[in-house]
Formats: sequence, C-alpha cells, structure tokens
Amino acid sequence: MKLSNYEQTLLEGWEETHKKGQLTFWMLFSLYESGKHMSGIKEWVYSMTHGTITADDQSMYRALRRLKSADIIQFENVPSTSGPDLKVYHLTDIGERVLGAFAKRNISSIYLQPRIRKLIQQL
Amino acid sequence: MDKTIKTTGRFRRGLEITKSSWRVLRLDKELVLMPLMSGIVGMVAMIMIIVIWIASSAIVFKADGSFTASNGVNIWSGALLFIVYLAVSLIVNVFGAAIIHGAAQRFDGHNPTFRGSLRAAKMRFGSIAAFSLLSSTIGFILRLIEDRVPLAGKIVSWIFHATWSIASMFAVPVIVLGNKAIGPVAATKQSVNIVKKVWGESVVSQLGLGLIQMVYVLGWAASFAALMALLVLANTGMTVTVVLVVIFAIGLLAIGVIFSALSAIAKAAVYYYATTGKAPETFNKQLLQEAMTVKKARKIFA
Repeated sequence: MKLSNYEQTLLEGWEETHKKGQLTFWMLFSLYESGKHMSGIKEWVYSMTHGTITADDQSMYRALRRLKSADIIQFENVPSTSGPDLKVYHLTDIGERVLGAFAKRNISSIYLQPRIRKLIQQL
Repeated sequence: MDKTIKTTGRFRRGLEITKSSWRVLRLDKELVLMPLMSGIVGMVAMIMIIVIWIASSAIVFKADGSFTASNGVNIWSGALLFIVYLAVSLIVNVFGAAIIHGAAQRFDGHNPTFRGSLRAAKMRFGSIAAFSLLSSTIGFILRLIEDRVPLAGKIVSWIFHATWSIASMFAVPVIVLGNKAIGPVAATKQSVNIVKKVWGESVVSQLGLGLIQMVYVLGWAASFAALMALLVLANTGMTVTVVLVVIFAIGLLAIGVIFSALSAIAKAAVYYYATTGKAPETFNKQLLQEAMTVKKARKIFA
C-alpha cells in the first residue's frame, strides 16, 4: 500500500525517533552473536535491519567508547594481514547479562506474545 | 605484602590511580573535611604556640612595635620551633591517616564515614605520634644544618630532605592500614620497600595531581587578575576589592584542601595496589559501578 506524502513524512519522523535508541541494542546484539570489529558490527546491523539502522563511523566509535567505559564491552587487538591491528569487540559478562535482561523485558516478553505477533502479522 | 607488580605500564597505571583518586573524592566528599580540619587545627596550634612563645618572653617587643628574640634564650626558641615542627607534623599525619583509611575502605567496596576514618587514625595515634616525632626530628636537624652551613651544605641538606620525604612517603599508610601497631623505623623501612616496588606509579600520580593543581591555581589567579583589572578600570570602591581578595583567598584554600585530599587518596591507592596487587583498573571499575546512576546510564545508551 503506497503512503501519501503526509503519511510518509509521519513515518519518517517516527522512524527517526524510534531508531535513536536502537543502535546500541543492535550493536550489542551483533556482539552477542560473535566478537566483531567496528566495520563488522556496522555491516551486521545494516544487514539484519534491512538498512533501517545505520550510523557513521564516528557515531559508532563514540558509542563503542561509551560502552567500553561502562564495562559492557571490551576489546582485544588482533593482528591484521592488511594494515594496523584491528580492535575486535566482545560483550563482557556484565554486557551479556544487561543485554539479556533488556531483551527479555522489552522485546521477547512483549513482541513475541502470540497475540501481539498475530496483530503484527496482520498489519 | 609480596604481590607481583608489573614493571611495564607504570605510566598508564599511574594515570588510572589518579582517576581513582578523583572518583573516590567524588563518592566520599566528606574526606575533604580532613585537610580542612588539619589546616584549622594546625592554625589553632600555631596560634597557641606563638602565644606561649610571647608569654615566655622569648620574644621581646620594642617601643617602636617591632620584636626580636630576647638574648640568651636561643635554646628555648629552638625548643619551641621544634614543638612547632612536631605539632604540624602530628596534625598533618593524623588527618592524613584518616583520609588514607577512608580511601582504602572505598577501594575495598565499603562506604567510609568521617567519624570512622578519624577513629581508625585515633587507634594508631601512638604509632603516628612516634613517626611524627621521628619525622620532625629529622626535619628539624636538617633545617638547623641548612641555616648554619654554606651553600654546598645546604644542597646536601636538601638532598637528604628529599630522600627522607620519598623514603617515608608510605609510612603513614603502612601505620594506619597495617594489621597491628608498628614503630616509626619499621614503618619507614616498609615504606622504602613499597617505593622501590611502585616508584613509577607514585611519581606519575603525585606529579599528575601536582600539574593539575597548578593549572587550577593559575586559572583561578588569571581569572582574579582579569577581574581586578576590570575593577580598577571601572573605579569601584575598596569594599568590592576586599571582598574579591577574600573570595580569591578562599578559592586558593579550597583548591589546596581538595588537592591535599586527592594526594593522600592517591598515596592510599598506590599503597593499596602495592600491597594487594589489585590493578588500579579493577578498583576503578568498582568505583565506576558504585558511582553509576540511572541518569548517567542514560548517557551511555544514548
């Protein structure tokens, strides 16, 4: 169903607000799958969200620094065959527990309810 | 106390220790009261000693209002000067011990209190007093030598003074954080061992704090000078100038008090690291977690 200009504008405004809080979750989710360097995190998030969640490198690095300072992620330097060492990021135990609790409280216990799933599929 | 200390990364560990000191002070602001009380008690002690000095006629006032030491009482003046050294040393060490105990409590994950920290220092008062006596005796003798010998002798005296200051840097932490009472010589020997282990971290943290303090003092002085220049141009009254000078003095005092506390906390941090082997990053993380609030957490996930 094609949206009108007005509907499209509303949607884009809502998506922008909605996406603001999403990047951190998707970054941590990507690391939950496996340790990755910054570009790997960016590509995974882009791919899994079908391009709806994106960020420039600077924003990514800022977010990674904040998360590291809070002991949610840590990194190790891995030698690279083409250029300087890569920083490969991993979730810490704290990061895993907080991500798990967040996902349970805010995603799986809400969106995976049968009734809600059915409604979403009907949209 | 035989914990392995890495020899590499001293600079980074020194910086982590400096960060820890800031965090401890932010978590336990009451520790700032210690150097403040130390200053107040020190001033009261000095005033009392001066009064005693005057009363004992060791000082003679002349008709024109000037004063001089009276003849034939040099020994008495010397004794009073030594008492001043001892009093200042004792007061600084007692309150310093209290801060150090408070900081160590925080590194252990406890919440120190002002009273608890002072109580801990009081429990070791005998050892602190003995160390203060040793320290002030050495300081006094070196001062006497300095006043009486030519330049080369003065330089040697300064070198001894610096050596003693470095060697005894951790004597107060050893006394207040040790499991039992300890004599001043034994405390100094243990202090020397710690200095040998963690000299890099000590230098970086104390030097780092010294540099930061200098920046604050210069910044404060520059702001004051600029404001005074404006006042002079605006031709404001004497009252405003006096008020500003008082504010400036209070600001300098506040900076001195805060950095005095930070220096003692940093000493505690280095001692703690030397004796437990626990990396500064570890107790930095602990401190970070204790200081976390929902408001701060929002910024992490923003």
